Amino acid sequence: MSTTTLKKKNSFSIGQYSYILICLVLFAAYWIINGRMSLKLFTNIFMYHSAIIGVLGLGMGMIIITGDIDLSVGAILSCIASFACVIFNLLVLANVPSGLVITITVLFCIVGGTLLGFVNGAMIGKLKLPAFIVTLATQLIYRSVSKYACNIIDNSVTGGTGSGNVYKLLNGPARDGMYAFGNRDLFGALPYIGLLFLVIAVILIYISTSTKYGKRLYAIGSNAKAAHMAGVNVEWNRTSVFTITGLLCGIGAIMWLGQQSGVDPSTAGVSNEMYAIAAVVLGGIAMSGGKGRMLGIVFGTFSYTLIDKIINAMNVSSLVNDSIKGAILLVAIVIQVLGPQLRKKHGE
Amino acid sequence: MDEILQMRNIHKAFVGVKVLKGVDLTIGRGEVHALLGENGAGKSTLMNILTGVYSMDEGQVIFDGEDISNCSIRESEDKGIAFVHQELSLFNDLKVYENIFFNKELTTKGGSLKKNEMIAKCREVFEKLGVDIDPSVTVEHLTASEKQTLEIAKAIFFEAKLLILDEPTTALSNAEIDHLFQIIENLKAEGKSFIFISHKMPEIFRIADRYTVLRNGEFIKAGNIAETNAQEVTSTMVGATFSNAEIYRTRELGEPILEMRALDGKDFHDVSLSVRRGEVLALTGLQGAGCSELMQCVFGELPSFSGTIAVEGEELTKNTIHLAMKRKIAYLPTNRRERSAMPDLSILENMYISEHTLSGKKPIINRASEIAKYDAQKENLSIKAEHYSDLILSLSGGNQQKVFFARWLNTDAEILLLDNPTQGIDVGAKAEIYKLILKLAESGKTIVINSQEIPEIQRVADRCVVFYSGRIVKTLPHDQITEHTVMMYATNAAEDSEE
Ligand SMILES: Nc1ncnc2c1ncn2[C@@H]1O[C@H](COP(=O)(O)OP(=O)(O)OP(=O)(O)O)[C@@H](O)[C@H]1O
Ligand SMILES: [Mg+2]
Repeated sequence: MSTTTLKKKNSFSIGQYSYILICLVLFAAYWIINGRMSLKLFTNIFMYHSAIIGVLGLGMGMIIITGDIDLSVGAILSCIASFACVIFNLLVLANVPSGLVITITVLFCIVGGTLLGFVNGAMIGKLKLPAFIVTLATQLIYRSVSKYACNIIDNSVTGGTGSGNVYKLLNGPARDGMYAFGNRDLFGALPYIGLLFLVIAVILIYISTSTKYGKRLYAIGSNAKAAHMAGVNVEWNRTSVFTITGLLCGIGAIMWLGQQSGVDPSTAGVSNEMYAIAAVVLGGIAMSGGKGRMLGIVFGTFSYTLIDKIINAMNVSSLVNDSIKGAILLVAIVIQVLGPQLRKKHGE
Repeated sequence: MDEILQMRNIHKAFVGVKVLKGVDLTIGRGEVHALLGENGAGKSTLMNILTGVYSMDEGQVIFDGEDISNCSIRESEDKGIAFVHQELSLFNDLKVYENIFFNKELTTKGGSLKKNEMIAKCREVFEKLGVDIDPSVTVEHLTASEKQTLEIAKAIFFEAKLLILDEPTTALSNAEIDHLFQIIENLKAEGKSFIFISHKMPEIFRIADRYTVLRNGEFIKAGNIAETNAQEVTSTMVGATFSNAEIYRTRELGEPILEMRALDGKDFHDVSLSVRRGEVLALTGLQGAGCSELMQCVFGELPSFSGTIAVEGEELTKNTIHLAMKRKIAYLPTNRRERSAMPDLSILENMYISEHTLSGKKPIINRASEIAKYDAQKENLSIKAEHYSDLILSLSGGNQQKVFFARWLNTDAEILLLDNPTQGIDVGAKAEIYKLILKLAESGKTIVINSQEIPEIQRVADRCVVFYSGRIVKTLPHDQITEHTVMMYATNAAEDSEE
């Protein structure tokens, strides 16, 4: 038997909130390295740049809580954004009013993302295939489909120029609308996409803490056999978290199109699954499932963005960026994982 | 007396809650020492301290003349203390010999494993213990009792001088218990000492030489088993004079509510049974006789079966757990750790989870009403717990079992299938559970209980159905249930003496 900490869940201890501490430390580090801070910079980090990884991370977090993993989130985002771009352009070329263009594009992203997520979920939940392999495979498929389509679809529709390996939203009022959503701020201070991220976070935090569905996810991650014996429909609940994550990837695709006005299918969302996992782990959620809070992911995402920003501010060669990022991640996770263990050894 | 172990004035608190308050324990060399106490008295905690799983706050441990206070798990193993846990701790995915040699693998100088040698050594020990297990089979394929013996074999292997058996018999059949006791007797003759924890009185009086009683984390009494009796020991444990009075009363039974006709599955054959509303029906038989599998089938856990199951006259053609639950069937499984406990969830969450799968139409949790329901169950089953938001594993084994009982009572089921429901529950609480079962039956609930403890069946059952290798061999009415008759049919010894 292992010496698990069985301390009261309700009693307050800093250990439970170490993700906030890490986030604060990183923020201070950034401030020092960058030398200045402003409201604009603040919302830029915590809202504008955190939105997409945050949304993917929230989905990833739910999946990890049930004890699984999803390696296809970045590929779903890129694939959906690519085809959304094509649909957008076709509608613009057909002179559809811009409001309708945006509505259809947004709906496409949501429905398309949900569907791709459901495909993952059905294979993992219903057919009981291992999530790691299934989502690795669908990652390859989704990404290659969007790359291939880019190559064979005419440039006038993809919106790309020259050799044309990217998708671009065609200019016009519809594109401006998308751009405004992706880059403007509410009250001149709060980026819309950041607000959307926070709203989604609040909803998912509520679901995870206060609904029966949320508790079932923890039950499955904690002991799937026991959950099954207690009447929980493990197959369906597993399918559902992957589906929800697909939906969140679709929303991520909308954010991406708004921010960038286009997608390069060979780079968009690449490694985003890893960033999302990093955000989840920085948020104090155990990879083994059954433990952790969705609130942690919000801070985990902030921490992740801060690490990114710190590296930019340090102005080092882009080739060593990832080494530094990896090192900071390791340190943060060592604090997160080993901290509580050390405390336990020396008596609580 | 030649003492192998002395624990003196042991204190331990978990986050401020005092669990052990100055406990003494002295074990003589070559004796079987029963450690007794109610659920949550602190028995497992004391053993966890002895073996280095937990550290103590105060006290002294002397083993074989050496002070080993606050040693590590590894050190206590090296000194010769082996702990067979209440919740078995084998690696299901590893092979038998890999489990035995886990972390102590025999290797060549180059570091590669000496597989054949390890397997051969296992065979040797198994033979000596009279155990029939193939060392190269994967542990998940073993039965509960084989796993138990494997744990003991593991201890013997590394020349333990003191073996701690924490409720070793909860998952064993009577024949397997006999076998285990034979092993214990043999090892005792070789001079090994045992600490034996159990809630089954008859067992204790059969195997133990001396005993120590704990109550609420305090040392109450120690003495020779020969100089006491079950009644006295029980009162010492419980604190008041314990009443073992007959509580069974004949009741008016209702119409048939659960009917099985020609039910056939992998482990049971041609089972036809009709259970009436308000009845307490006991199923019994040797390990593997099919009682547990039959229950699981009714609960929808074994989807492939032929024949019919009808609930309140309505036939189930397809059965899943959810459908069964909607028909108001509940099933309390055996093997708590694997099939009931969600270790990362709190006591409250562990309790309400099943009811929530039925009330999914109201998706939001009403905390206040859940807590009220928990408090009611806690009172009802006298669950000993600090706070509902503590993790389930912070409870003693018996109290965990009560929470899972509460989980199913909370679903308002009409038909309760209880698979070895009193596993790990202390005598006092057992009596309360029997009372509860009869109270539930009186209020119109139907109860099917699978048990191998015949005294238990005698106390609650209206009828007892005896199984032998998947088939019903005999149905006994309440007044014919005796240890002797049940065993006769369960071992199929009655075949020629009677039709
Ligand atoms: N790790 C822990 N954290 C907090 N409380 C604990 C922990 N382990 C045990 N306890 C508490 O200590 C008390 C004693 O528990 P213990 O498991 O020693 O009882 P026990 O005598 O073995 O009971 P049982 O017969 O039910 O197995 C219980 O009230 C339990 O809730
Ligand atoms: Mg115990």
